Amino acid sequence: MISVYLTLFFPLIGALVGVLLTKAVPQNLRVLIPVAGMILSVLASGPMFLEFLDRPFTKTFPLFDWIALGQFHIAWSLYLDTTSLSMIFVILLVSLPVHIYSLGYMANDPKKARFMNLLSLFTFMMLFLVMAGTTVQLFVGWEGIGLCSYLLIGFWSEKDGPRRASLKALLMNRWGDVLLLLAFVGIFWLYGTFSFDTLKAAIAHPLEGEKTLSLCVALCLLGAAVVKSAQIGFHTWLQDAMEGPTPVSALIHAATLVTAGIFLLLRFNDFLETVPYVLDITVLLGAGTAVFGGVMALLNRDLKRIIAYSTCSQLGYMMTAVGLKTHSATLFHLMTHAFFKSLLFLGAGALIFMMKGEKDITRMGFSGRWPLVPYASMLVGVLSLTGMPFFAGFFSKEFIFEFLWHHQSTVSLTALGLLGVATFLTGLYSLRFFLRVFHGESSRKTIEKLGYIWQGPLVFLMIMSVLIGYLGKTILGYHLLFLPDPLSMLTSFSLLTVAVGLLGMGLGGWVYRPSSKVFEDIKSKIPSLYHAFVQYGSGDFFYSGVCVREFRKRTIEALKIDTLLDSWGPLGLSRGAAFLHAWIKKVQTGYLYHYVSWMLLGLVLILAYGIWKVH
Amino acid sequence: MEFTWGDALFYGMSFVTLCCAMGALLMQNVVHGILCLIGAFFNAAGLFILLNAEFLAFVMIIVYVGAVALLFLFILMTFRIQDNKERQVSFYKKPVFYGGLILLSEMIFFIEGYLQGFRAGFLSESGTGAGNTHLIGRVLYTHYFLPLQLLGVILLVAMIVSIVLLWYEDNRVRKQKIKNQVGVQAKDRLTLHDVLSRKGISF
Amino acid sequence: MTVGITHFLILGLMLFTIGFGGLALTRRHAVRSLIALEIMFLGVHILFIAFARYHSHVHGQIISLFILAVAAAEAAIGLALLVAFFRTSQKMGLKDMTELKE
Repeated sequence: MISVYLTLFFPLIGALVGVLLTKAVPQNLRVLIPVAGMILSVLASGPMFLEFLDRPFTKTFPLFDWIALGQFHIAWSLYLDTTSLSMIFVILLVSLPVHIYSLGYMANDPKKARFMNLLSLFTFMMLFLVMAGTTVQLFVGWEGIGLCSYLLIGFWSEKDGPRRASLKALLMNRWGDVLLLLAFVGIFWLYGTFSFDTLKAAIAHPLEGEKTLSLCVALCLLGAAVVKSAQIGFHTWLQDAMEGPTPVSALIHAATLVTAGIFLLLRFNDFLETVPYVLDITVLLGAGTAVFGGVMALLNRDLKRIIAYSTCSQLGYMMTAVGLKTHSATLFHLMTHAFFKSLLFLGAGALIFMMKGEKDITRMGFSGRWPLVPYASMLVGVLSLTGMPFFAGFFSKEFIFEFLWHHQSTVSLTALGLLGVATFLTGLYSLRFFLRVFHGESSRKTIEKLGYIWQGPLVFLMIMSVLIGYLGKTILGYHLLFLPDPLSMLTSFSLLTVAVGLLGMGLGGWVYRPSSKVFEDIKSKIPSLYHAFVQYGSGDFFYSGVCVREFRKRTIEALKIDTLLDSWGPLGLSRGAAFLHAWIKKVQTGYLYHYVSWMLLGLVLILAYGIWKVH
Repeated sequence: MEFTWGDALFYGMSFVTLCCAMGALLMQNVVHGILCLIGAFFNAAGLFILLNAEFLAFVMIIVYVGAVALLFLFILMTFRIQDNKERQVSFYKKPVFYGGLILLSEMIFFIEGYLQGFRAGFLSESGTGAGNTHLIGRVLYTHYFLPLQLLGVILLVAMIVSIVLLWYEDNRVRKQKIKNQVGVQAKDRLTLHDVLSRKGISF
Repeated sequence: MTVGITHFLILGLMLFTIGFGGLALTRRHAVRSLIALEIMFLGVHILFIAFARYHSHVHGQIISLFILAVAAAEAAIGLALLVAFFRTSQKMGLKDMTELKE
């Protein structure tokens, strides 16, 4: 089916053509090439969706043979099922608005052509990842998106912050990469195959023994997903990644790259189910991150970082859902989240642009002058994020809660409690930044005008953020457990969770109301708690403070042992070698007849040995 | 077993061969040494005939005596070494002397051990199985054809190497270089200069 | 004929040893070492041909033929090297050939 290949390769072609065009072509024309590639890709994906939508399927499309050594055979192929199809849907429909939005956002940037090419390349890599037919390809895509993320975060490399942030993202992600590689090697060890097709069949038969290895592989997979999806402990790179351009944050750090970890766990869902405990760990980790992200979002003052922590928190929901083996709920929340979170990011980018680069929510203060489209988009985003009825976030969140409730185990109920807290926090921080940004005081007199090219993508995403809640059933198909009709979800239980969210929002509205001076900031009220969270919460203290400092100290201590070892290890050896050499060198006289004499001696000895051996 | 003419020939020729070999190494004058070597080759060729290897015997004489030894002599003539009287090789250097003796005895011992199951003489007394030129040719150009070609390549390489090593052009000799003569152009011989008045030109 | 393969073998080995000793002891004239090499080759020839006669095979003789050709090539290249060396240094002795030492 040609449509699959075209969908995958159009973004790559766009990026390549964009790269190959010389400086002679005006930059304003060059930036349009990747956009055109994206549009073609979206158009090409139409037949694919029509073909496969609404029914369960798995299909493999061959690419080419890579390694064929007898039994050992790796052929590259594209593997499509409902999971990857929904991911493709999200990637395409977020990537295209982001591309168009970037035209406005980067309008005055001297390197904008390069930026667009990188965005397109990223899109290709992400599509490649979700379509990967073998674990090897998945790894290629995984590394590819990591690389593109590094390049895009550090796009303004002339500044110090983005440079550091990009390096941090790359280094943190390296942990995940290594773990992923180990996991894939382990899977090959266990099942002897790289391709998902055969893997699926192989996992159906439980393995004899190999319990420990399975557990290790599962933990490696979980670790890789945790790093990529910025779960607690590895979230530090995500907040710093906000140094990059906002379209990048919207595309990479809200909709696609961070969900690659979730996607990985979904891909290996069958395998993870064969291993005990790992899924429980996943559930608790996800729920913990949901709460933690909410707290951190509440404490930050940087608008983009607040949204980043909110992403962290929402990814925690998905992790929880993965851990409960609720494939469809996870995917559903992944899709809705991708749309409303990129909407929030793009809206935030527009607001920051209008405020001439001001990111601090306490100083943005539009104070009454509300620009229509950004205001509406932030409002829709916030309502969707907090899970208010009839917005996309409501359906997916309710879905997860229902699963948690029906699962009825200690783990799930704990997670339910934690997620309840997270929902409350979500309401609180959403109202905080919303009220601070739009209703806060400001000394600023002028704001920038927003062009139409900014507003188009916002409107599109706004519509999607509402609509996706009703489309989910069509896209996901009904073989994935059950997906109830949207309106039937308005049950008493769901109203309870909505009430929790509303409670958070109400409290937020009261605490952060424009005229209120009661709760100016947590910083001034409970400084010790604030400092504790800000200092330790970002994780930087642990990594650069504890790990690096301790490592440095231990290194200096270890240096003494090293010197000692050196003196009769490498150094001693080399000295000994030099001494011996000076002695043996005398043999090398350079005279032919001396060498022949040594040969004579050698021949005599060899023959003597031979005679001794024979007799 | 009686003592035959063949035995007498073997003992005589092998004695002469050994003496010539020693002489080749011990003669004071290198030229004499090479003459001894030629003697050794001739006697070895005789021994080959005793072994029914007539073709090799004659090839031995043609190649070794006719080509190699003569090449040695010829090269020696070109060296203008003043001190031709080199001291003879001292076989009295004891370590090498004893080493050689031990090696010889070891090798003989080894081969004797190896030959335990052998008959005293030769397997076939008639000896017509090996040694005629026709047979060698047949095997050489069928079974050993590829090695033979390789051998030709080796000799070709040896020839090229020798020529390259010894090639040199004597620049003192004036030669007519037709290529250069034909290829000469006007601008190589003649240049035009504008001479300004009161300035002159300088080369 | 009482003379058997053993006699020929001993003769060949003696020639080989003489050549080897000569190679180990030649100091002055480099041509002498080439002569010693030829004597060693001669010993090997006799061994091969004796075995060929013993087994009534022609293969030993053919190997001998190959050795002969290789020996000729060796002699040619060796002499060429000597002449080239003589041309550059005006010396002939093995004692003088120590460029590779340091």
